[in-house]
Amino acid sequence: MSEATAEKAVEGAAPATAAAAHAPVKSDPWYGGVAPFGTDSKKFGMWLFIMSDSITFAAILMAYTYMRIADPDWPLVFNAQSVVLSTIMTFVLLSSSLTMVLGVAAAEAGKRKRAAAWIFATAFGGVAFTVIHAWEWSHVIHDLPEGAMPMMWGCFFAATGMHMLHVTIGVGYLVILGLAYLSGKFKPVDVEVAGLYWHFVDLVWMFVFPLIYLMSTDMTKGFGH
Amino acid sequence: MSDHGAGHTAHHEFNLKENLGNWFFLLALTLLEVWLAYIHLPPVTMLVTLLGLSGLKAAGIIAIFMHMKFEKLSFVLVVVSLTVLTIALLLIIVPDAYVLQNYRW
Repeated sequence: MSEATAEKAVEGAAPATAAAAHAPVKSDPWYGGVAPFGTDSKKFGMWLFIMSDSITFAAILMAYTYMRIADPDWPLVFNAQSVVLSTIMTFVLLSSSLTMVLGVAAAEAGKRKRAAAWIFATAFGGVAFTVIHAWEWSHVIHDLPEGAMPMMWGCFFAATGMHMLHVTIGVGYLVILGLAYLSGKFKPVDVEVAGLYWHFVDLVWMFVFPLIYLMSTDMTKGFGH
Repeated sequence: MSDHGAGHTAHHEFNLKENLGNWFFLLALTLLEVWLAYIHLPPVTMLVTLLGLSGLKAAGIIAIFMHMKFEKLSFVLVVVSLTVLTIALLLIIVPDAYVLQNYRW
């Protein structure tokens, strides 16, 4: 049997000839007999978005790293207080990832109310992160000397602002998802897809925190402004 | 990683202990990174160490929280290899920064 005939014998397709009708059904991925990635199309779509977005963040952080290495006199603008604050923010984001995992597990177990509760807890973590971050931004903007260190602060606001935008969108996404899931509109896979987005936001912060904060910190400055 | 049949998504039993362990692991690595900020390492050593630790944390999040370790190998290879390759290509410009250290702008 030729390869062209075998392709026509794929499950679900109408056999073109009598010989093809008796040919074995092809289950090989190359003939399209099985889903090659064995995953839901929504999950795959979210992964494609995550891949493209991770490259965007990589470009921003790479630009920062480039300038950080190129300048031996890079200003160490953060102190111990900034590190404590950003460590708390890291803790909040990591914990919100754990609550998201619990939400996905509850959704897969068919426990709708519990899943929604964990989803709202995750959104609350996102709100807490954004509030702390916005408070820090307001202090940085207030203390910013006019015209000083534009490159450092350009990197800081670009990277953390882009991340904070993602967190804010994520909070909205989770609230809508939680409400819709509670009313029975969404399936467990939709919760899992939202979880992928939220974990990605957490993942990006795992690079922003050390590169932006820890690489520009002078711990001898202690606490206070 | 597991192999699944036609049209099925990756399903697995939820393991609370594994997820909690991963959370503690990520917290511990974060504290290690903060400790590194207290001991004054040269910038490049610090950068490489922090990137290494962040890579470990990313692996923990992707594999366990994002369930990548339960996906099909073909899916993992497409998603991970393409992303890593693209980001690695961006790294090509970084050595040029050492040249710039000798110039002032």
